Amino acid sequence: MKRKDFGRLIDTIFAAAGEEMSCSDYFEQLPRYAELEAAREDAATRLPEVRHHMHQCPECEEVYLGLLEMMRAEKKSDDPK
Amino acid sequence: MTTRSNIEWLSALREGGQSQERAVKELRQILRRAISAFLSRKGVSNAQVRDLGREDLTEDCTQESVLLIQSKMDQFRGDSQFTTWAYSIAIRVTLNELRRRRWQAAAITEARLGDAMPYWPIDNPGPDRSLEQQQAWSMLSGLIETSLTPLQRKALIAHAFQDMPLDLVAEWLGTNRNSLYKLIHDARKRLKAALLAKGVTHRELIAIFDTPRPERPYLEDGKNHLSHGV
Repeated sequence: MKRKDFGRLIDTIFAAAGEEMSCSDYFEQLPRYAELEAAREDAATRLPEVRHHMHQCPECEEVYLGLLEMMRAEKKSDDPK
Repeated sequence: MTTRSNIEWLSALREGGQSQERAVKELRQILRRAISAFLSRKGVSNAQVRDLGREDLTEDCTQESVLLIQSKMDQFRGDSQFTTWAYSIAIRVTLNELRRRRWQAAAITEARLGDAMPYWPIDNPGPDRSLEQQQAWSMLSGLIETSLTPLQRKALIAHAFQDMPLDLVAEWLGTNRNSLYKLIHDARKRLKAALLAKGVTHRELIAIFDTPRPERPYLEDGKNHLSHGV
């Protein structure tokens, strides 16, 4: 694995605590989270469980980053030239 | 961009006839454009898309996304734009397909799957692997061997060290994604307890391996908002 991924693994071990949101619950709340983030509202504070899951599950974080990209591309295509 | 409201999307996609056909066509166009742009961006490896071709991959992911969206309409919560929700499904479908291809290319043999801990966890460690790093890895890999249940160990090795996608690990172990995530979460908690019992902290372990922090471009202040419990 890459060095940064190994660091991430260590991070997730030490951040593991209590019960965590499942991937399904995360995906249900992700669109709302992404819209809050895109609106520059404090999504991490308003939906801390989503933020925590994102940290603990790199695949789910990758989905979030891809979703933000799609939203930005849509906004860009809508902006007047 | 669509000018439909959420209610208009939902009713058009449900009501059948020409109205539904138009809505499906519009949805397909929106998703196809988004998936195509995503696959074209820098950072999506050409190796991941070359065997089928970008156009075919785009078409397949678009088709699967539209079908999934139509089958999951009852799960739309209505607390976001319908298109944001649709994008979230499209990006999952696309990334799943890319991961599946990457995994197929990795060609881990069945015998080693979930079984073989790496001799050293980091690619290209360089010539300066210190004795301290070797001792730390020996301890951590030892804890993975001794602190986890056989199933936890299998799942963690396959996903974290062999890079098998979560959905495929779940399928391989005969479970589902949520149960697998819980299994890995419990494994992490066991490892954390074992490390703390040995007096090893997060900060120390990170410092020993001098691992860079993952970039978080979406966190403007650059801070990790989590408490790591150490």
